[in-house]
Amino acid sequence: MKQNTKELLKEHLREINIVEPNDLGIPQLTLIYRNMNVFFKTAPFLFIVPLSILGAALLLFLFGYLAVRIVSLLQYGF
Amino acid sequence: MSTIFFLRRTVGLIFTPYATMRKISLERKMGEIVWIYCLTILYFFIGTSVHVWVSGLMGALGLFCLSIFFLSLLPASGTYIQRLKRIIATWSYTLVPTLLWFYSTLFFYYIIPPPRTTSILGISFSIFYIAFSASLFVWKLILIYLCIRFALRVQLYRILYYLLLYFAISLPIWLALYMAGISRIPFV
Repeated sequence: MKQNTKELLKEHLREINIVEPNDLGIPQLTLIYRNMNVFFKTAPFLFIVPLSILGAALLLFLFGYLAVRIVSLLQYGF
Repeated sequence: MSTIFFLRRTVGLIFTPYATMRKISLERKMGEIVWIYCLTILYFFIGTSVHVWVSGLMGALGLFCLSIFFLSLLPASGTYIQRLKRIIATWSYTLVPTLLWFYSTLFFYYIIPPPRTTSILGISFSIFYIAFSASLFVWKLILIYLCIRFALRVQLYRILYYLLLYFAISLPIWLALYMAGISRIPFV
């Protein structure tokens, strides 16, 4: 069992290390990127859906009828 | 069995896209991505009339093959065959949001046919539809980013450069497909 867990952990580590961590050249930028990346790695919809609703409401507020027409165009566009 | 794997991966791409895409790129199971192709064929079959479904499907197939070909030409680690397998497996899964959008648009087209109006119901649906489309679009972008990240195993700047190159090449093709009346919104 212990051996099995060790093997699993080794396998998981190998899996994690298939790509090098992103390095953006500037340490502060890399830090910002990593902090932001957390939101997209797990359950991104928790952030995407509220932002999309906010964006859609804003679009409608700013452009009014044009936004409604975009929806019609998209609905015809499939 | 492949159906269960396909469903598990699809759910995984919703909740843990990073880890799921990494696993897809490592395991490269071709059996489960057949479901994506079947769903695509089915969509074109039920979504359009008999006259245009073949041209629509051919357009989608052409775009898919061109994307795979383009990505396989980019410099990355591993042999060409390894890279190609990783690209096919991961890029196929980026079609999941596309399929979801096209199927739901088809559904809404029959349930709430356009054009939309500026009534309260029309505006409410417009907000919902724009938010829904935008969410799927962002999810799609995340999956494309992860596809390039794990299939080609490159860093952020290179991914952005590849994406820019991909869109620069794809835009005229999408426009040509639109002009030819094959697809108004590209099936990518």
